[in-house]
Amino acid sequence: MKKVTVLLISMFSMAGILYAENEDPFKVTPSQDMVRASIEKDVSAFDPDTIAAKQFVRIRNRANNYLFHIIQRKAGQNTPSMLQIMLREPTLWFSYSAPLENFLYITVNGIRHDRLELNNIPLEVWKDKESGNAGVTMKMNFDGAKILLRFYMRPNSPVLWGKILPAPDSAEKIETIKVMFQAVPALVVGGQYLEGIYHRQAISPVQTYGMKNELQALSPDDVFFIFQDEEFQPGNYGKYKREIPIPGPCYLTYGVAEVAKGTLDMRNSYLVIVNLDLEPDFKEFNFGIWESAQQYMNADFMAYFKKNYADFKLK
Amino acid sequence: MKLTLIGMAMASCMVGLSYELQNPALNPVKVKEAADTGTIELLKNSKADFAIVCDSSGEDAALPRRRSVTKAAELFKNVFNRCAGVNVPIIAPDKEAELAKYRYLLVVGPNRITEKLGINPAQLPPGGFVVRTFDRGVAVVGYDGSKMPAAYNHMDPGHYAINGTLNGAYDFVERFLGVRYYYPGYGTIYPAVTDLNITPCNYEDAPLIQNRYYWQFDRRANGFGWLPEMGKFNADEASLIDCWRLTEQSRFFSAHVPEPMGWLAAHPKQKDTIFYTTPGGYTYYNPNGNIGNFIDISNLKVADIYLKDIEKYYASNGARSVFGQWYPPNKDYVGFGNCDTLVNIINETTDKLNLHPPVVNPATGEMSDVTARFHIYLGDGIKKVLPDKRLAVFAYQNYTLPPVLPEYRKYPDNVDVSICIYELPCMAPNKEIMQHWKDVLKDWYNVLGSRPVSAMWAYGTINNYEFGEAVVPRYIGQYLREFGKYFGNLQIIYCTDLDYTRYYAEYITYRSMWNPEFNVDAALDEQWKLLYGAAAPYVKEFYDLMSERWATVVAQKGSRQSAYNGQVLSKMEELLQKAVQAVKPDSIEMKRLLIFMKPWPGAIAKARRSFMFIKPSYSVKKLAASEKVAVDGKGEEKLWNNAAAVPFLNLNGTGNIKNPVHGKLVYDDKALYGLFEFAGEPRIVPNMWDCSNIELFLAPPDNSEYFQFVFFGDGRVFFGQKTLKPMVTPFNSKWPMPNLKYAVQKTENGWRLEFIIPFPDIKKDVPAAYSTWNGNIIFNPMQADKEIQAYSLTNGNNHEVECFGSIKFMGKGDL
Repeated sequence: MKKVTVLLISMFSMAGILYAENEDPFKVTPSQDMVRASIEKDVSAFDPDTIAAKQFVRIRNRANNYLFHIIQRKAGQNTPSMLQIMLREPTLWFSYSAPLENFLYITVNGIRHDRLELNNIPLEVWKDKESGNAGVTMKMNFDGAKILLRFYMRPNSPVLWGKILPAPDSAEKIETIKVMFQAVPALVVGGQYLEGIYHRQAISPVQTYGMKNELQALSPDDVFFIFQDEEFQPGNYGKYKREIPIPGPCYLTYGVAEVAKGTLDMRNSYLVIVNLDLEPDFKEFNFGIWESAQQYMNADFMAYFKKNYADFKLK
Repeated sequence: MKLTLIGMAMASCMVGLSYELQNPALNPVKVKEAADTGTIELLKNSKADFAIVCDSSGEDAALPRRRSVTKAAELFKNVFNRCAGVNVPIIAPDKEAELAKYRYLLVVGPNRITEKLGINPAQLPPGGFVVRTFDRGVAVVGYDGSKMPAAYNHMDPGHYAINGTLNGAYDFVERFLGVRYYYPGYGTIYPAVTDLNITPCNYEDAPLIQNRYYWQFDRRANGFGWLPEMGKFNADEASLIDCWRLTEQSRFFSAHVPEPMGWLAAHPKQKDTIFYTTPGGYTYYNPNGNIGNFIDISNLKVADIYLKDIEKYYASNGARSVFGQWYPPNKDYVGFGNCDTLVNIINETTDKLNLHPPVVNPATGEMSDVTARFHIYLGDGIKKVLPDKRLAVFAYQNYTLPPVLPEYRKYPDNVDVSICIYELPCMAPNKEIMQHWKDVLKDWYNVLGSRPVSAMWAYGTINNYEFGEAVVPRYIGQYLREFGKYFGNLQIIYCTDLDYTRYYAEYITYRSMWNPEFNVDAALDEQWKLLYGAAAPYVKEFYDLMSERWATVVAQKGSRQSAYNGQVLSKMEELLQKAVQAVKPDSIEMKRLLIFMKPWPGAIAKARRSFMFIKPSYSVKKLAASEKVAVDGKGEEKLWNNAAAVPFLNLNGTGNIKNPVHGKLVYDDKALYGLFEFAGEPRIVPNMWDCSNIELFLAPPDNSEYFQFVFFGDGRVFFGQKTLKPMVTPFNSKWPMPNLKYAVQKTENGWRLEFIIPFPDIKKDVPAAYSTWNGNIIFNPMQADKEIQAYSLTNGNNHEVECFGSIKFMGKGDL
């Protein structure tokens, strides 16, 4: 999927969508919107039997508010210790937020990041004065192959931006690198992850993917996805008992030029999974995810998205 | 007690049935029509008017264990004396004048009288018996090896014995006199009997499983396991072998044979042929024990060598043996069972012949086709040169499943297979698991040409888990019933550590092997009442609760902790307390209760402690290529500075450690290295195990085995290995560690240990970065003023792998 020239306007036209640049007269300038990023150690005694260490990272601006829990789980009786990077806000449940699944997995040279240990991952908060961006960088060592994982926000944009790049002091070459995103656009029955009841859609600029039992190959033209359920939307639970608010659609975008192969795993299930094999000689891989504490009906989000497309675009 | 056995149905004598004969607490027997002989009054008003009649001729020359008739007569004499206080004479059948003095005869074993009665013991199954009334009394006659021509052979092991009459005698005293043998002394019931009227009866019984024996029972005669609470040791009653009808009455056996050292001694130049050498060059030969050896069954020349040795053995009538004393070939069977080492043979032969096809479960099947090819070749060879012999083999560890390749799915008809199922009887209440093993046996049935698997090694729970050991034998009958025609009847070896406190579990084990229809609950209910009087309801509830939790939680793959949770344990404690309160302190019931209860305070406390267990984690630094450890006991390398310290805790639970051990582990692509420093002088005495020492336990991620290393303060070392999955094997203290290095040095304030454990020595690949092993490190100062320190809690048993902490091998550049 390298060297793809994406003609956004024409593609969007093909999909019947035409986006305008943001012209919101009420939007604040970068200097007016202060992005803040902070790290704090968890000092609570919650679940000390299973959690060895926990750190919170919060990145927020006026448009949105993301909170990570980075958790080192202790080894259990029959399970090894595990590192989790979980998103807990802006929504408490679903979209990309835990507790169902981690929203992101990175696998370098066959080693998945959840095998690493938190105490070997330096976290650094940073702020770029020129752009106003602020965020956190994690340095991850996969048996000598090191990467930098950045999460940050831009002023005004409600998207959580991410960047993966090889660390300059990497002792080993990155032979393979895989990135997996997982989202739960809607889950209607709390605690019961029923299969076979959903009506999932993944809308890209050029096509709408439906549910399939097999992996669906992604196109280089799929520069973003809106994941949604055609039926289950906020307030619409069908015949199922209302237990947990349905958040509505969520969003993913990534730099297709760095992707060697991409697949969508969207069965009739609560999970929507995007698997990406990056080019091993990638320079940097950028991505963005969006979810919102405010619930959107699918059409409402689409309207909002079109109107504010510039804030959802990778730069 | 008046035992008047006139049953309601028997009173009519029309069909010769007696409800009492089918006491549900005993083995069900085959009742036949009885002649109308009238009631046989063996005892009346505490007086006996009968004689015991037996012909013990020919038994003097037999091994004591095989003197079936003699022992049966002595049993009757002893029991009538114990129960009724009468001294009944034993008279030979040809002493007609003497016999005429007695109104009735208790005829024991085959002789001229039983011949006249038309009882032909040869028509009974081996070990079976008949009990029949006749006009002069009762006859108890069995199929006895001692009375059959050429029943025994000089190649037979000492515990091989066919004792039908003795089996019948024990059945009689249990069924008619109410005698019960649960354990020696307080656990043996001899009811006081004043009157014994036997109404006409005629029944037979015989064991299903031919070999119902476990070697530990013989150790009991030497005091093994005898408890102080049982009173003075009684060697005559200790073993329970006869009264529980334990024996081997088939020459089939299932063992790790040939014994590797003896066999190699006969072929000193064939070591590289006989034993498997890995592609890396390691030869599985251990001169110090069975574990650690592995016969190269991918090489059919090995079978040829074995066949020639077997031929010579039989040609010399057993005199020329290269097999040692451990199950050599016998009159009927030649055995082959590879050594007790978990190995997957991969070499040119297995590659060329594609002997590793995809299997359902590699842990139990990755070697099945390699093994089957060898079994078939050996079986065919034996058929050619020794057509009257059979081959006994076993399906074990990673060759438990039947072979997959079509060419190996037809075993010769002279090969009998024993299967080792680690999950049974533990998990028998789990339908899914039972179905799996039933399918496996069914598949073996097909591979064996519509013949069943002949025998089984069955297992108690590992590490002497008290709750399981007490409960799981109750499922032996169940799985035998469910396996039906897919399981034969030659042998069950039930592996457990015998313990008199679990007499009830052991009792039902061997009853169920005799007859799978044995009513376990009826037998248990009867003995609770007989042994515990007013405490019986509480003891029964205790056992029933324990069983119910096993069946519904543990066997359904639930955790032991949730099965025996705090609420359940409290209930169990409450029931024991109520049992104690229900009986008088100086009563025999209390003495029995003390034996029954003995393991439970400790077991319950151990279960409670397990709730508190939190698995610690330790990260092992990975060395850079440039970093080297000189194992000199100095620990001067800078690399140690960057390694994490092993956190130790005080095993006594105080939380305070006055003299903490400082320890670190690092690894590279060759070995695991350790550096430990101890405060104070080590204790050094001649007995190694009384010296200050540090123990390191290491287990791979699946806890399939573990290694123990003990480094002593005076520089001595001990190490070994134990396999836990798929089958538990004995601890192998002879595990070779050719490249283990260590150094102990005195320091200003104490002593220091440095060691290297090469991964190839423990037959393990270098751990992958971020993989997690399990282990524990325990410092035993053996000095009263110093704390025992450990990385993880031990629950009182350093070898308990479930208590090991995690040991995570980090990546390059971490830490």
